[in-house]
Amino acid sequence: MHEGSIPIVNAMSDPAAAVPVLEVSGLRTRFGPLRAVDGVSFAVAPGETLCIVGESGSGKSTVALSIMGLIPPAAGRVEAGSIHLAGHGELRGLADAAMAAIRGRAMGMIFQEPMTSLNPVFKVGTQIAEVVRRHQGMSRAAAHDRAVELLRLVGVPSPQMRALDYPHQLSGGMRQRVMIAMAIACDPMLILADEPTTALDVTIQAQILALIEELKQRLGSGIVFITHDLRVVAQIAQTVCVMYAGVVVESATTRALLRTPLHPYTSGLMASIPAAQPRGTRRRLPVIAGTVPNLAKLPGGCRFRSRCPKAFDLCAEVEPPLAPPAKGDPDRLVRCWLHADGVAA
Amino acid sequence: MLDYAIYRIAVLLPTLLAVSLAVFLVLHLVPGDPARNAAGPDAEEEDIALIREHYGLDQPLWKQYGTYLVRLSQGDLGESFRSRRPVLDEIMRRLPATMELAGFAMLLAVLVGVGMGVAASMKPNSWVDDAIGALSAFGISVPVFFLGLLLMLLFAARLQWLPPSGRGSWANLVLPVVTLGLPYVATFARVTRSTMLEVLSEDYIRTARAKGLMRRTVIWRHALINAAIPLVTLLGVYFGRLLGGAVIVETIFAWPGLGRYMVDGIIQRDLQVVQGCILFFATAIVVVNLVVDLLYSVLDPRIARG
Repeated sequence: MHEGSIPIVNAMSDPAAAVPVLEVSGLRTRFGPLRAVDGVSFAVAPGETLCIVGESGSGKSTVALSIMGLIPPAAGRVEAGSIHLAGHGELRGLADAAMAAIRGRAMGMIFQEPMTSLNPVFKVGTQIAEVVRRHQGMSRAAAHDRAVELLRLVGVPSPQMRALDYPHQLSGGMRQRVMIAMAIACDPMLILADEPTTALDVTIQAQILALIEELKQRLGSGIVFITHDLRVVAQIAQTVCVMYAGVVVESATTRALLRTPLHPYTSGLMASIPAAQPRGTRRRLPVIAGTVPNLAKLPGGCRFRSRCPKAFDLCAEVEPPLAPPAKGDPDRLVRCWLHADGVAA
Repeated sequence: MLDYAIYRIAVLLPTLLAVSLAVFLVLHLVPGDPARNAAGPDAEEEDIALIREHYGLDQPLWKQYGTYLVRLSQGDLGESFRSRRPVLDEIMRRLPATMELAGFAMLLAVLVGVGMGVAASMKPNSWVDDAIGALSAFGISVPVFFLGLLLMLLFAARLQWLPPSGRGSWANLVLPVVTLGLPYVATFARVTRSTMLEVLSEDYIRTARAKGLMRRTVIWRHALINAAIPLVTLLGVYFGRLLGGAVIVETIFAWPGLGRYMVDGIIQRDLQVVQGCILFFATAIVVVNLVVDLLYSVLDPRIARG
């Protein structure tokens, strides 16, 4: 069977060596007094999946919306920093019309809520076809054929018939596949996925993760995958950024991070995964006490210190920099005085 | 879809039957003797009795209703006491004038009202939004008869830009259509604004923007079709009120339509004319609401079509 026109790229050979598809540096986005994203930097190589992990309110979704230029102007704006997309240059400061020409073509986004993210009054095939009609100037008929092909590619059974369905006629998993089909319709070099599996059943979650992985291999795109679930990270990411209260507190390769988390927040996150506990040692699930601080009036010093079991005097006085740890892997970054040079821990 | 349409049309008949009974009862149970009214103040008792017999007004009420229904089923709405002409003919003769007035007023409401509502929703709380809000507050609160006289005084009497009354040229249309349409322009602007604001914050609008669709496609296609669903319901509800407004506007501007015909019928206590007009209006409203309901299910695929 014909599997779609997307060429198979040998991605993943060496992500670190490739020119990044996306480079974000010093990104700051605020909603009124709320500094939702307060200086975030990372890069994604072709064929690389970067996970941004954090709890609600950490600013991880805002990072994705800032990259897409989808922060509602009435609510907030990207204040500073640089968003560099390979082949398109700097995105920050582009007019909305210019951004619209890039969105959906060079970068696609998958959202958390497949139930509400599709327009209820249009057939799903039409909604997918719209993307290629807009960006590739296809005729109505050609775009429809392409939509059917994309539905097949994302594993929707009998795509010809499903293309004529309305969103309410499809299950959550199928709708998320439709969302993915829309996001990859123009073979984007960058895919942003904002908790795409959170609203789905566990079995469907696994299928969707496998699908995203397969499509990445096929397209060679870079993926920014936002999640709060470290188990998902373990499955799909090559690199991880842990976000807390608008900043990155730790970034490393997935393997290194899961083996030896350096930041107390990362350790806390890992301890609160039920599956990570060895059998027979059932105990009350540890939680990170407290909540994310109010981003409108952040106290000085480390943002995590009020919830940190290892906080000491310095943490209240000066915010630690995001820097390689004093001992260990120089490719990792951590924002914690415990691992800073010359500070005794 | 077809089954649903057939079902709805089948339900129409009992509705219309109930309407005819209600109209019949109200008009026959109100105080006043239609025969005496028809005969005039100086008529002899014998003449009144003759009239009563001629129109079957001496029969028991249920029998009168029966005869009325039989005639109705033959398309006979009775004849005017005054002109002695069939009421249906008179209605048909005046219908185009009223349709013209109501049609253009609706068109004005939809085009200008929806346009203003969308414009206001684009920049909520801006000066554009405030101006549109003030205008629609005026449009909703000013009574039709007052607005009509105001416009007539200003544009016909003072500025002499437009003719004050009558029907004929395009210029004649302007004042009555604006008078009749303004409250609906205002209502449509308000409802469009609030539904658009609601729709624009939906996740699927963000999806449409994430696909890189142009702003106008997002607004006029993805948002407006969803916002149109409550608007279409409104269209059905307001059509009835529009006909009511037409009665007043036609009287103010001497517009030779159905509304004025009915008002004349009421003033002259011409029972058959009033009865015929009310039944006609009621039928029109019921039919329009049916069309609106069918349209509704075309617009919104989530509505069951069985």
